[in-house]
Amino acid sequence: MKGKYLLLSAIAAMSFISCKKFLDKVPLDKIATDVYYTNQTQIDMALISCYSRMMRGGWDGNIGADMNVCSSNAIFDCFGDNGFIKWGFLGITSGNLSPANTATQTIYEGSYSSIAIFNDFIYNLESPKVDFLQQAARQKYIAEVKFMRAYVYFTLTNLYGDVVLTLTPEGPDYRPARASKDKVMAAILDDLDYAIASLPNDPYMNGHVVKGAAYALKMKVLLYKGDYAGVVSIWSTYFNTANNKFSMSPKYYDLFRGPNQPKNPEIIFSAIYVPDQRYRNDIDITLTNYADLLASDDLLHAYEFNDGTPFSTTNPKYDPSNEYNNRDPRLKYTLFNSLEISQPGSPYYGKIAGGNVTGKLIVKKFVQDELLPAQVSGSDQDAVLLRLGDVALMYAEAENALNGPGNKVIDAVQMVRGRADVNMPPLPVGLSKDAMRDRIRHERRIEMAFEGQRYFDLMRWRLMGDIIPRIVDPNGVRRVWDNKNYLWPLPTSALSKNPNLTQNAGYPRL
Amino acid sequence: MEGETLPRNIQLFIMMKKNYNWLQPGTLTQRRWAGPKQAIFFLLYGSLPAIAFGNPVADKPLFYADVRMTFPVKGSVRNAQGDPIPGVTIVEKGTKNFTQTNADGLFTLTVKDEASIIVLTSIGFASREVPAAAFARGPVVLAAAEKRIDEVVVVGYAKQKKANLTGAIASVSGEALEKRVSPNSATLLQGVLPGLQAVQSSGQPGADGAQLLIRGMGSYGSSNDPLIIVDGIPGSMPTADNIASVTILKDAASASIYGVRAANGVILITTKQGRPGTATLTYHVNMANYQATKTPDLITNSADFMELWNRAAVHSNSEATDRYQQSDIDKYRASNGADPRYPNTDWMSLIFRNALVQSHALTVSGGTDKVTYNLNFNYLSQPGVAAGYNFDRFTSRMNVEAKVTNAIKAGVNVSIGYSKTKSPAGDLLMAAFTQSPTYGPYLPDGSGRLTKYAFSAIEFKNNRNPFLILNGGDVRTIGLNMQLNPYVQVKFTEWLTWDVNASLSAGYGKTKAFNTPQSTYDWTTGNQIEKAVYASYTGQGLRVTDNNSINPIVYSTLNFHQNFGRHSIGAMAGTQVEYSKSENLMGYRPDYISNLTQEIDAGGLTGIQNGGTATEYALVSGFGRVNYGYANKYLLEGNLRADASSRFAPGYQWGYFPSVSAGWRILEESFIPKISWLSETKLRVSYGKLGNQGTNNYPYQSVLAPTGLYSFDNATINTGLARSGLVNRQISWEETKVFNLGLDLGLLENRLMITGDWFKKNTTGILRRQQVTAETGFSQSSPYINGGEMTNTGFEISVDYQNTIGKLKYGINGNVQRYKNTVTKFGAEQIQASPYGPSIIREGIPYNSYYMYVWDGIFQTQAEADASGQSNSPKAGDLKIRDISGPDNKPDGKIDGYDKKVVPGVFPSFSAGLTITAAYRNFDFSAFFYGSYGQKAYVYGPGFEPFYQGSVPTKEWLNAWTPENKSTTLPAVYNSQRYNSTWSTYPNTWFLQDASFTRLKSLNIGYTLPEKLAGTIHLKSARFYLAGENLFTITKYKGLDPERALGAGNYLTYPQNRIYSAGAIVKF
Repeated sequence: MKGKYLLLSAIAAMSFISCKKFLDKVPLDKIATDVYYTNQTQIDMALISCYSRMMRGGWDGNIGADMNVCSSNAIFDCFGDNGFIKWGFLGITSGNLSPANTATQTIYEGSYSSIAIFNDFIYNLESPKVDFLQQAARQKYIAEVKFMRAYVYFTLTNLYGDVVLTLTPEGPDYRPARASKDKVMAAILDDLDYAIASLPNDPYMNGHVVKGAAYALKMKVLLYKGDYAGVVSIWSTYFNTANNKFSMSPKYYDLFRGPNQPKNPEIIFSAIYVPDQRYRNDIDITLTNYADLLASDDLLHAYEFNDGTPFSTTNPKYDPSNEYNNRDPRLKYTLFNSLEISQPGSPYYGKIAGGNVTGKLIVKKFVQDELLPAQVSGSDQDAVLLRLGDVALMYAEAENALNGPGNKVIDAVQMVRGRADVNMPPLPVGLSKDAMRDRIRHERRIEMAFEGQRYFDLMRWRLMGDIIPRIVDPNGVRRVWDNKNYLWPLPTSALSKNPNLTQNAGYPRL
Repeated sequence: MEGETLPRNIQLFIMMKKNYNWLQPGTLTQRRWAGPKQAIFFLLYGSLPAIAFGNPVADKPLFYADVRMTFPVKGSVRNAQGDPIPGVTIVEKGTKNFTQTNADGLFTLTVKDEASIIVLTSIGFASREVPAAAFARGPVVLAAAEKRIDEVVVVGYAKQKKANLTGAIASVSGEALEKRVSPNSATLLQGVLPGLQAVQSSGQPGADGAQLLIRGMGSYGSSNDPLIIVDGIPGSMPTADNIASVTILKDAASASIYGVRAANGVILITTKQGRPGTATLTYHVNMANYQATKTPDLITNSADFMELWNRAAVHSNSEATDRYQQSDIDKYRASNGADPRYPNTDWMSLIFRNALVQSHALTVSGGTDKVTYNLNFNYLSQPGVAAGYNFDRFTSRMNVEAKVTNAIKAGVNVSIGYSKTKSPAGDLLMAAFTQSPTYGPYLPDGSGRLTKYAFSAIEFKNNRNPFLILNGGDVRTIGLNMQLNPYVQVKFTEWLTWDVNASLSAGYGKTKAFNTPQSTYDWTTGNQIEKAVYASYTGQGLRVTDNNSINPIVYSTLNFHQNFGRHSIGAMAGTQVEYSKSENLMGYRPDYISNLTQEIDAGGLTGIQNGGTATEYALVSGFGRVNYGYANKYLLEGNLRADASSRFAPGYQWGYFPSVSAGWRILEESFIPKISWLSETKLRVSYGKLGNQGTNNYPYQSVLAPTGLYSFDNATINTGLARSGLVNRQISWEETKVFNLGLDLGLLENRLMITGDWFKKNTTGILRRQQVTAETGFSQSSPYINGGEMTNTGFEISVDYQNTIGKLKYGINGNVQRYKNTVTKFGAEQIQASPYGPSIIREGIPYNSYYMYVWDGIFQTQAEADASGQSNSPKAGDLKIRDISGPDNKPDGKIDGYDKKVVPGVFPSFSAGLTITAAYRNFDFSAFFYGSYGQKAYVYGPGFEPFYQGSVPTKEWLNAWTPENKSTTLPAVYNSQRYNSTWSTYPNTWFLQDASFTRLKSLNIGYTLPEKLAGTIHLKSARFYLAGENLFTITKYKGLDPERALGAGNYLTYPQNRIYSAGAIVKF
């Protein structure tokens, strides 16, 4: 009997330890890194993760977990003179921009998260395990992602100035110092030159980055650097030639929403809406149901009358019963008329800001009537990041700065003013160079309102100090400006973890 | 050869009644033989005299004959008061010969002879051993069981006499726990086990469990939950009437046998087993009235509310349209609630109500000498005190044990639980707080249509009418848990036993969150405003989530115990294997036509979603224990456990967790003079190491995870894949070293017992995420490292006094515990807004210490406000912040980051429990007080801050600062969403409230029917009781309930319950 028990014990003990693999547990829904990038399907999936970053607009923490780039662009406009964000977002407009602000942190960290994914992709695509690809195909993959890396670094350096330049995957002990803005801009241009050399010269049809996008972004980088000759050169060697694959959209509305937005010939690059992914705090719900983002009176009054004269209540075109009448048609495409949304019977009645819209300037540009949201977004539009209208105005600005106001400048501006459903008269001939510069700047504000350009334009033109204190927000508070805010503070969270980082002038580390 | 031992080469063949067994020579202790070599041997087999025939030197069996005599015993068993005790188990020692006392406390049993020892045991009484002859001299008295040193307590993988314990252990019987009424047995542990902190943060049906913490927070990287072991197997708390005892293992010496999961302490629970004897059917019914302990006292007078709103609007510079018109205010003032068009709606009273909670438990318990059983069936129905909440639970536990042979015992514990939970799909409490009193939930026209606001210009931001949430849908969860726990115990000999215990747990849960859009109407105009979804949690439609898990465990132990003269030696060795896998699957469709069809197939096909994943882990362990005692005076124990976990990379999987402890019972020393009032003095000391692997399942693995979706054509959705984070393969266990010093004192013949323990618990290698620079791109998914360190020091003292004066039996049990938490290694300090409000993680101070500005009064004049250096443009009446420091370490006239300060109070400085019990004749009484002191809570948000998201202020805001009423404690009323208030710019100590409290947690008064009376109605016994929970609270805390203050410092969590209940326990 004793022997039987011992045998039982032995069997029991054996069964516990016999299976060595028992402790080898790997995640059941994920793939180990060492077998990755070994066929083209995997490379395509990795590329998707890169593109998906473009949807995020750099930050994704402060307003809502799922905010996309379209909302993010519109919010940037509110840091300038175009609009107002109800929560006093970031403290930028009240002079309270602080390194402890979570938004400065999410933009900074979100950008480097994107960059890490891009770097990982580029690093792996350049490694020998991808030798199975044709050289041209390989370079095209790399070029697409280098374009996106350039795009993110460009935003980053515009906000923070000198930034850490990370171009390869880094490990946990990485403690880099900041690189000068010049060096960052040079790296951006390197990436873009690679992209220009390696991307196909196609129209923007299948969602992938094309050569024209790399040209357009390079133009913007050069414009921000003040390299007007470079800007003009890209215009004359690409966009103003037969190689150019883009043309102006006859309808302003079609650029931003509706069934005609996809494959619109004016769009050079966009972040594409992902079907069925409803974002809780996407642009349409932010604009309408919550009405968290409002246009400023200053913007409303910036729209010209439809004969090209500036707005004024003494102008005979002024209609006191409806001030949207006789105005630049882009006004009604861009802003809701509160008369039209607060009347019972209107398709918008009650759907916007709980019906309480009196005196509030609600943005219409990205809102599709039939998709008006309730609690969850109804958006299905792509976020336009680069378009020919932008390129034409960039060229006009550079051409005027380099060679003065001439027909070339007026014609370029007329590309946007003369659009079929806008049909504004051309800018007058005979303006001084400075007057022309101001008209181009004004045109840029109107044409690209809430597309995320205005804040960066005012920053690069160094106009914040002149303009911001003029703005009184709907809550009655006058905005303040401090020149240190031309650069954002690096976030405390980043500074505390990296002793080699320095803070921008005027800001504490905490 | 009389008195000599039997030669070792002889095997004895023993015949005992019908069982034939080989008797090993070694088992014959204290045996003698008599007579000539080849004739008859008189032996002692246990206490049984026997005769053997044969030749002791021959190598063949001896024949054995049973020569037992018989001696009939008629006995009577009574308690200290002289009343008969029914159901006492009467066993002839060393045999399986037994019976039970009847209702009159009488029994008859035939034993071998008059010297036979009879063992008397009964629940609630101390066991006694009495010679058979003693019964002839009159009734034998059993003393009531008390927490005394001879009591046996459950320890890791074994049982031990309390007198022999050397570790820090606290235990409580199930009987003591049953005095309280709570649907969730974890809350019953509050305040009764020194060293265990139990915080019930909510009274929400189905989610009212307590967070358990033993000796403070030991880690900031891993879980801080203690390991709960039910009958040897990791599990969850059974219902109260199944619990036989609860033991907590606090120090390393007692817990290290559980190795890698013991760092947070271990809670051992044994469930009730049947006893041999007649079967008993017990029915326990409890009917309880639940109400919220406190709901905020909100302004319900509409005119007052409107005036206060206007005052706040002026102070907050809000737009001119953002005011109630005086004409409207006048209408409400004139109506004073009488005109249904101008109501004074009390939203709290519409949502909160009294709830009738009932529980029924049926237990069948009993057995024969071969099989014992305890079968329990339990049903609970718990509607919520807030509308829209409900919880129903059915549980069953069936414990059956069989004696297969004398040596083999086998049994199975089966538990099955099924629960149904219902809760609103949106934030109902938030919604209830944010409605103005100016309108009711339904239009005044009686049409039953739901409202949203009365004054669109002002109230449009109100959150949502709570009845919109209730009408739109709900979240329903069902849970089904099964555990099958078979075991076998083989008793090779008296001193060697082998246990094999297996368990298969399976869990299945399904959650259905459903919501349809609701139409809302304007109270004033009756116009439809919108049709929308009002459930913020789930969105529109139906989301179904299935979760299931499977968790098999097997362990086996070999136990040795033997006394050699004054030496006592015990040893135990075992192995354990565990595996767990969890899976889930989710499906979602957004569009449903009505509430009638709540299944996936009934929904529209656009926007459908699905998801699912699975994870698994495995654990292999070996463990052992050695203990040694000398003359019950010096006690030594050593434990070692080795664990290997799949959560770490090969090479880092094994962890070793040793501990040693010693005890010295000083009074046993001959050189200590006898002190009449001192009956026990034991010094204990222990030191050892524990582990913690409470991290995620794959912390070291470098993987690519689905990251982001993208579409190139607005139609096809593509899933991206990217590296999911930086990893570190070289991580391993967290280690917690505990030093414990304890003293047990027994005074007045152990009527007064005092136990004190002092500990220092030091956790190193805390598994936390490395602080990686943002520039790597992975600062949010950085690798785990064994990076941090944290220390907890503290003490626990418990005092227990039990006494009987005449027919009054009473007891007082009090305990106090205190611990101090210190982060000893963290890295760069971290300033954060959550989880407990503005806080900081900094080395040298408690984890998550409060870190904020210091409130310094209220600006009484605008000039004072203008000179303050506060950047929020304060006004007279606003909170004033103290200028503490500046860049040069002195006040600089500016209020900025330099003026923040660490404020103590994130952990309580001490907590205490006091239980008073008394029994007189047929009445019994118990009261339990619990208190926690020194903890503070950051209170903010809806209900506390005026008009936060439209929320209605509490009545105290009617006395807020005004130029005429210059309050120094309550600032001018403001609209917290429209004003750059001090709160948002300068989180400060005005919002930090003292959450100390003393509370009568439980009160129970019972009456037991006299046994004769019970007998006449064919009952074994019947007890009726009245019980209350959370009856009163002494606190300065202004929030809802101080007990759940931490981390829930606003008014939005579900309140705790005040319970009045009546019950009966009837035994058949």
